[in-house]
Amino acid sequence: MTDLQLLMAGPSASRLLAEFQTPEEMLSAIDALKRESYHDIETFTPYDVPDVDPRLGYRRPKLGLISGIGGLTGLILAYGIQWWANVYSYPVNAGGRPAHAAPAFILATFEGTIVGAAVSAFVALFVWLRYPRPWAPEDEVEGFERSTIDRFWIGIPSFASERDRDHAIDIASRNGALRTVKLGGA
Amino acid sequence: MIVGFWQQVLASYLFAYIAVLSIVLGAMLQIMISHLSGARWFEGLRPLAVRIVGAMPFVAILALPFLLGVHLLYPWADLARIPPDVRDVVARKHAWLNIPFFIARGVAYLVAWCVIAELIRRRDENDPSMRRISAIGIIVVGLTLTFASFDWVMSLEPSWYSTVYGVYVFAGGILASLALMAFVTYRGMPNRSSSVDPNLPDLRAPESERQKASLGKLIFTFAIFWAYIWFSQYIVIWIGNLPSEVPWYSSRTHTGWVALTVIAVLGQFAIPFLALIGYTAKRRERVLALTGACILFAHVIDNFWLVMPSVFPTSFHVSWTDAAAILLVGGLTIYAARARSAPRSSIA
Repeated sequence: MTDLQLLMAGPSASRLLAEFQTPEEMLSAIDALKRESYHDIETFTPYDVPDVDPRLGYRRPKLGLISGIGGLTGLILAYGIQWWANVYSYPVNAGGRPAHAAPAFILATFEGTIVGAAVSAFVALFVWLRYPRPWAPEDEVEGFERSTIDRFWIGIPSFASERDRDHAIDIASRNGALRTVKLGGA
Repeated sequence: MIVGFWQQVLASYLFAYIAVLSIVLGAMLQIMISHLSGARWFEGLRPLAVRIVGAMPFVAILALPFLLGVHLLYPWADLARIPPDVRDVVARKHAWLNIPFFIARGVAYLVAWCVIAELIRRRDENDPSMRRISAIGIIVVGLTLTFASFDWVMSLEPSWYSTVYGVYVFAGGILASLALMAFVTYRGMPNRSSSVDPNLPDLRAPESERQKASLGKLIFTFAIFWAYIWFSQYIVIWIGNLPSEVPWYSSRTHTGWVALTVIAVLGQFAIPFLALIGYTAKRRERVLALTGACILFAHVIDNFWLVMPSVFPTSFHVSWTDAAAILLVGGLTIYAARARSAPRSSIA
């Protein structure tokens, strides 16, 4: 289901957002919601709150592995190009130094490794998160931009029934939510 | 070149002394860096670092043998011992490299380190004056350590010089002091409370998980930093290929000494890098303790490699005095650090 469909869909699929002043209140609301078997909770926080990950069952991403493979590729390419140019394609005698001058090759090899690792991590992250995403339904909520400044938001994408959603609103409010916002639906 | 018995003894002693001193100064720099950067992750390690720094006055006294034996150890003290082709170059350095000034500088470095060490030791971490002491202290130690490494080690080959030499010594020192802290804290069976001392914060408790990861990351970072400095010095000399610079490396890479070059680079860079690159590895006590032990061993080899090929440039040479020296200086320093950190009643 796309975001637009979500926004257009009926009450049973409507999305709920709740705003908190502190990460502690947000975490206690997540705990309470999980006790009542709500799933697919998302968080929107201005900085990394490490205690969120185990609560929402996030596993460590494989970004490190991708970045490692990218780095290794950069390493091999950078060394390979230098070897090809200096040893095979156009060997030059520079002050009697060997054509295969490993110490001199290391500098560009190091740079190649960094570029490979950084670019692959950057691209992988964009593909993974389906970036760029200039608009999301949450952006329509007044004050939601404070999730990048000083407020802690949680979102629940869908509910089985309206009663279910109202119960979630209740739980959020009891755990200190400043306000809750219904997105889409009635 | 015939190396006399006393020159051998003093060279062994110097290598052991630099290996130990750089660890103590490395711990001192760590403490000052943590005050200047406001690093909260260092709080748990700080008491241990302060204990290492506590040995400083004793380490200063241990410098006496080679300060008194300058004329036996350093070739520049007797121009007749210098090969004729570089005698002129060394003679021109007389204003800096002469015995009285050498000893005076040495005493000045040692006094400066003792003063800073005691200032740190007598204040607790929340003392507001620690920031000012650290700001001044880090400049003083940075400069004195650089010049001490020029004077005490680099001048063993007085016609050779490298401007990055001081950085090399303190990069190794900081790395080894972190390795020592990791080894002391996490040796023994995993998941038991720190065996060091009940007065120290328990770094094996579950709430110290992040501190453990920080230590792992820092060792990882400084292993890379050390390798970066190692390579910076090597590439400049290799690519320049000048007759005045190259002999320092050719005696270390084209003789039996090359084995130590390999051990130092493996033990202080390649092994820690591969061991600590993983996310979970940095949080595993066994990995931290073993990596720490590996780095400490390589640190001793690295300092041996700095000093000895300057005395025995043509072939690998090891003597019983080398082992005796590292046991003596290392053992006495550990004893001093422990005695000074014990409660007063237990010493008396």
